[in-house]
Amino acid sequence: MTEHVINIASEFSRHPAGRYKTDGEFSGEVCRKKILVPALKRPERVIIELDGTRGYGSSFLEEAFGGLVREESFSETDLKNKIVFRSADPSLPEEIWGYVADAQSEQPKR
Amino acid sequence: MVPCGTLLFLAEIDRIKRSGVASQRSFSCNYPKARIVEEVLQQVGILDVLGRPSRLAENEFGETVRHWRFATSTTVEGSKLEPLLESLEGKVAAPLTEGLFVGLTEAMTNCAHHAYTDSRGDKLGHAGDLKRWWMFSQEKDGMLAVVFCDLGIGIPRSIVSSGIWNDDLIGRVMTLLGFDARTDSRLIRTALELRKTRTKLSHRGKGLPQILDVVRDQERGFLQIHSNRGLYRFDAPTKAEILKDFNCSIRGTLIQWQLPIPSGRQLGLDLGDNL
Repeated sequence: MTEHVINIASEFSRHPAGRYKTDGEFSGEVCRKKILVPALKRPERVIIELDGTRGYGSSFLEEAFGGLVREESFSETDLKNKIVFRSADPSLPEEIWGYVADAQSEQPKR
Repeated sequence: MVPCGTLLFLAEIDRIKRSGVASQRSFSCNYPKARIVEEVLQQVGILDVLGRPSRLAENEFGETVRHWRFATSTTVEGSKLEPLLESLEGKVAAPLTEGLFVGLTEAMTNCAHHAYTDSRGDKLGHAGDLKRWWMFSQEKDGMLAVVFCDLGIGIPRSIVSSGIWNDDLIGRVMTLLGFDARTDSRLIRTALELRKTRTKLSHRGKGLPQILDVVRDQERGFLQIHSNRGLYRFDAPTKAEILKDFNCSIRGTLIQWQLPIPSGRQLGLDLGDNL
């Protein structure tokens, strides 16, 4: 599978923060709709580079990535097959996958 | 002048002025006798908000005064922290600047979501421009103080009224913490604990503990959260927690971080969106 690389700092913001669109222009919801969902609709594997920002608050991460399951109908399995994170801080991908798993567990069983 | 009290003073005046209930002449002051006090009042915008024109040249301000900086907004704006974070690079470990960014932007997010959900009780309402946060930073004696405040309903009220946690869960967490009667300081401490827990809607309410993470591993400094009548303080060197309750409420939330800075270079916050 070919790769599509996204760098959050250069393609979205060095200062990602906030949960909803109403919180600010670089919130988790905006990142999800503007950057993540279009990338995930492409056929390639998506490499998400997390380094280079000033940091990530839990509200941003949960809405951006947990929201893929809650609001955009991706499953945890879909996302794990599609996304690879690159980060100097190994706890960050772990935290994100935790939000995805939490969002999945809140979904009604099919 | 201490940063937390000065910020609260400025925020209250700013809120009243923005509400439109006060006429232009409702607030006034004389110039202070001490030059350094005037420099500070000018630097942080208090003279302006009190209707006195700035008359001192900013490039002649004392070293300590130049380190007072002010920012305010109604949205979550991480870019407003960039001048501060940039000035810290090379002086403090990267996790500290990251922690400050995360702690402050989570405080802004908490303000946007929880602070202005009900009346504050000052009859001013919460029209769009009043759902605001204010922030100061100051460097003094090798310590960085960052103070953040909102004038909303306060943490003790918001954890009860937000609907994220039911009353039974709040009661059980308070019991686990060894608290019997509910006071504001105990509710602040409970909020820090509740936000770590899973709820029916686990995607809500994870931000507040990250405010504490900024100082948790520091050898010096503290975090202080004053909300309504209660005060919670985490002392970094001893890891001790102090809870205190006052007779009067500040009707809002004031969060203060104090952290060691190895050298005395200039630190600052964006002065955009000035008063």
